[in-house]
Amino acid sequence: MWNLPDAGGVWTVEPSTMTTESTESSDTDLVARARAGDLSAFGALVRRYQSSALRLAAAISGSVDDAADIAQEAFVKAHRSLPKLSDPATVKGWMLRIVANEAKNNVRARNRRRRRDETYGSWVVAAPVDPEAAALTVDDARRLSAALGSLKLDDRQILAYRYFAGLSEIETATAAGVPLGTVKSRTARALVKLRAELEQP
Amino acid sequence: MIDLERSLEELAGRIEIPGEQWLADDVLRHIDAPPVRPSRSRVPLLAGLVAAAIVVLIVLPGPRRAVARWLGFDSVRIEPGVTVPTTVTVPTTVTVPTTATSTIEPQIDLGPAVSLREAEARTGMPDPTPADAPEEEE
Repeated sequence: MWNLPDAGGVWTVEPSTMTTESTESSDTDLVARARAGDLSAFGALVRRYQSSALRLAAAISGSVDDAADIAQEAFVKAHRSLPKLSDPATVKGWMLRIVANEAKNNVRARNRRRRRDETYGSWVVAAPVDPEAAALTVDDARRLSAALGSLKLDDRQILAYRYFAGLSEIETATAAGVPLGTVKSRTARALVKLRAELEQP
Repeated sequence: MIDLERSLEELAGRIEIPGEQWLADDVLRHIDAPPVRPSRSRVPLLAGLVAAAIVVLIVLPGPRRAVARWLGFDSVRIEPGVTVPTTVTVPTTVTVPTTATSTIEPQIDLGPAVSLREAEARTGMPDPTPADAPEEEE
């Protein structure tokens, strides 16, 4: 199931896309315009957070093939539920929470359809641009993906928020709907479990 | 722990995910063209239309006959106006005759009436009547 390119492969997603793009319109402005029926404003919100959404969906579901469908469904639901968003400033965490829920539903539906034999993380990991500076070899990436897949869904979700979607602890608290302290303790616990998985022979 | 966190971030950046280029366009297309599936708000409207169609079929004889013809029931006629009695009087006592008469209904064609002796002679069968039975009235 693994298809890891050799060293020298190309990066398809630059790390810079993981951060929020700086645009003239703030999230609050875009939400206000989208609520007023401006579809292009909602499109700008989607473009702003689609990279985080796709990575979050992939990390929770373990499938890059399903990630785009999950993210698309989640954004469509977000558009429908936009009037219910109480604080437009938290739209990023709110949207990514919908993505995470959709991804968890995807995992549960897949389990119901008895597709558990599918290997988590059957994705292509691009080789690093600068192998000297990279923390992960291709083999490390494979082991890390497998260890992530062996975690419980909730542990995977908290790590996906923090490290795949690139949310801060405060943003993760908003997205997960839990206090900041809970985010810290859950993240630490999940990292301990992940390390234990990696240390298993 | 820091190394593990950095490794996760690096892994996230190196996963190749198809669909990023067209995701926003796909989302906007879906929002623009919602599915044809009837929404909850349309369900009562559809139910009302179906109920109205049924009422029209019941009330108007023309459409009713057309539908009956289509279903193959056109030879069956159901007409209103038959009065069904609301109460039926059932006699509480029934008078049963104590003696049975042996009269043969005249409309049954059994041939001309003959005497018992003549019948015995014609059929060659013995008289089944018990010996102590009263004499036949001629």
